[in-house]
Amino acid sequence: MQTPNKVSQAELHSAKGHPITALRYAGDISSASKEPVLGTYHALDHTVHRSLLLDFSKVEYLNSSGIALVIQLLIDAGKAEQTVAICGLTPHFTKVFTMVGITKYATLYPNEAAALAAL
Amino acid sequence: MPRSSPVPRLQAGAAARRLNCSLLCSLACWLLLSASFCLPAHAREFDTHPPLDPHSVDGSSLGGPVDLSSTWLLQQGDDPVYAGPGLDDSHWLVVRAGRPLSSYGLKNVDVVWYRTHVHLPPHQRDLALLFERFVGSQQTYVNGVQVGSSGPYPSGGSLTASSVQQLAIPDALLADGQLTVAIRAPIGRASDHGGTPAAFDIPSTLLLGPAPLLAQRASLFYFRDYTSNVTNITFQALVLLIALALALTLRTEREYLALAILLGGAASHDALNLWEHARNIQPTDPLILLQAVLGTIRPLAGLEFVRLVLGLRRTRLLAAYEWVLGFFGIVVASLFVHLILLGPPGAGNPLLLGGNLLFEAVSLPASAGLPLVALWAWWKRRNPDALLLFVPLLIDALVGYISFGCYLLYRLHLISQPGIGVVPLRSLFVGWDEVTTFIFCVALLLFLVLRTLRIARARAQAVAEIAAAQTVQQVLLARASEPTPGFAVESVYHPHSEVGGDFFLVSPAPDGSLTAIVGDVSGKGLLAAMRVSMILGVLRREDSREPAAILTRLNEALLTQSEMGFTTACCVHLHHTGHYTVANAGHLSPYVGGVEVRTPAALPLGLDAGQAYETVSGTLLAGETLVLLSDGVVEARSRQGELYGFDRLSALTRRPAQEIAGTARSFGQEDDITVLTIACLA
Repeated sequence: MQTPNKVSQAELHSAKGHPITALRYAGDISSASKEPVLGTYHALDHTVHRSLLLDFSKVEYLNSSGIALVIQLLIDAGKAEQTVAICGLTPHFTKVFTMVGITKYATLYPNEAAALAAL
Repeated sequence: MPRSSPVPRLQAGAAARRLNCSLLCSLACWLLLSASFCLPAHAREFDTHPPLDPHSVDGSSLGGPVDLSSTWLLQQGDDPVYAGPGLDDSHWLVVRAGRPLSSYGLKNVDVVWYRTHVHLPPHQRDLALLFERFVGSQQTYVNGVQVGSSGPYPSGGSLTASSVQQLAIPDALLADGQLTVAIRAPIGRASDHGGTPAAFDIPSTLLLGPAPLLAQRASLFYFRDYTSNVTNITFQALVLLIALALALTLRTEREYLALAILLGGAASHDALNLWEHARNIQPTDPLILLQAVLGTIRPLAGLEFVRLVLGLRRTRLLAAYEWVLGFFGIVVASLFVHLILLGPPGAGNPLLLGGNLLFEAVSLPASAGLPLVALWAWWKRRNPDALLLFVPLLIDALVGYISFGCYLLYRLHLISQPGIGVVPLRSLFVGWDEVTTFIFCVALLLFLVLRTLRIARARAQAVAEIAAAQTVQQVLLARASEPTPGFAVESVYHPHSEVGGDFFLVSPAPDGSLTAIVGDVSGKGLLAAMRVSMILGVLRREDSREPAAILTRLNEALLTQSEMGFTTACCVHLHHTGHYTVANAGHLSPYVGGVEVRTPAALPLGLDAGQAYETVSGTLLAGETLVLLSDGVVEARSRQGELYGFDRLSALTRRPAQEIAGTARSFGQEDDITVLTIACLA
């Protein structure tokens, strides 16, 4: 049984003082997660939120449709010239994300602290 | 069942379903309509109980029981001498049953005495009095001797109507044929309710007659009064069982569960009400709370039922409204009813009116809004269920309008009873609200039947379409494994559902080389099957043997189909010498001899134009096998939620294709599983 996907938003600052908008996902990410993934992203003003951090540390499962949503987000963010980082992936999904070419659009970090330190 | 008894309208269930007419014009219309419902009942008042003179009722010329109900001598106050036969009561008020005491100028009534004088032939034997639907407690005296009582009820008054009570009259009191019947009625709180009839309500009856005849009438009372209620509860239970069966059969259609909860709440609420009336159960806080909870289930489950049927989202506004409805229906209504029934005398009247107005206002969005929402859904979305649902919703809303209109008219002393009256039947006592409840259930049943038939037809059509797609896919995939001279190819394909989203193709070339591709389209079911068919068609028309070129053209083809989602694919071109070239578009990399052939990361197909797919090359040694698989293997998930993962692939991919797929399936198949193994025979 799938756990409904939820997302929360937080405004953070990187170690260098850059404003970072964190989107923290929880539950399962699947085809039913269009609103939490793409809807939440599109609700952000891309002229204001220039750097995004997608946090998957509370995500229990991602299927191929969920990954497609993440890729779509990354393509849209690329067109808007936003910087996107990803953190909190399990080793399995780190490999999957790498395999599907997400690393061309976003840098993967093990956790939020590492991401904020690097951004 | 005594629907017109002064049971407070303020009950959680009723509060939530009734309607507050806030617009004056619509209020006026509904008041007129309500009056039309109530006037016949008012007119029947004197038909039901023949007029008599309480100073001297002649019982000698009547063959059957004498109906003493219609007119009484009445005195406010409490004095034991009012029971005696010798009292001069010629100055007492003459009152009609069912007429509010306030209409006689009586205010702040605590105790009243009713008296009537009956002349019978002397030396009668075995006579009795029979009360039907007397409201509240009483002590009854015949010629100064107490012959029976009911109550006492909490705080000196009750708002419930006794069902039936027979009191035997000692033969010694009948010797001279002169009977003075005196009834002490501590009506207390009942009189608080804005002049609500107390003691002798319109349907109340007091008969004097032979005890055996009255005993027969008492036994018939339950049949006359409760048949309609039992019928409705039984009918609700029947529809509940049907809804429950549908909920268990069609588990994805959660509206049936909501309907079952709605009907369960309504039937339980009505059954509890019936039990309280039939057994003269006195109100207690646990009973009041239970009534409130059961009564609130109906509107809450009803909201969810309508929302699910109409396919509406559960917005925050709706969720907040449901919380408000639940809070008012359970907590606030319980407090109000507690104060009215069990609180200090005098609190009832303003509380009852204020409470009813408050709850009508709270329930307005649900009762008035739902039929409109159903109409809107039918008009805008052409939702056939909305039209089917509109009928029962409109019935429910109309009953709410009319019932509340009656209540307002009653409070304005324009009609004689607070409810919407009873059906003019002599054999049965049936309230109009019971008739509408029955019609509501019939409409719901019709809705269930028609909707289920429609869903069954749609599902049969979908099953037929899936079967057709499955046949097409099987034909296409059967052709995917052509004879491959010089290579040992083994393929295993296990779709997760009837039709799969994985595909593979093995295509030998005239030069003796072999091109193989394994892929996975996003999504499942019929749409995924259509994508697979389209992709296999594109691949069959492909002339190139270069993996990167094949993926590039497939990407372009998929990009023209914007609704096609995305597709991962790994393509291999293998020469009989063992030399191979691989290009990958977001798919699992191939494994050779248990080692992953690392391919450059690339986006899946169908997402972005202009993608270039880099290739890697290698050589398959004698005895080595190249394994292509879909993510159904690594994403097999156990019951504990553990993924099969990548770590075990190294060892697994050394096994034959059947064993690889079998291992993943037994671990916990969650997706289509495809395994393709290729070895050079030379």
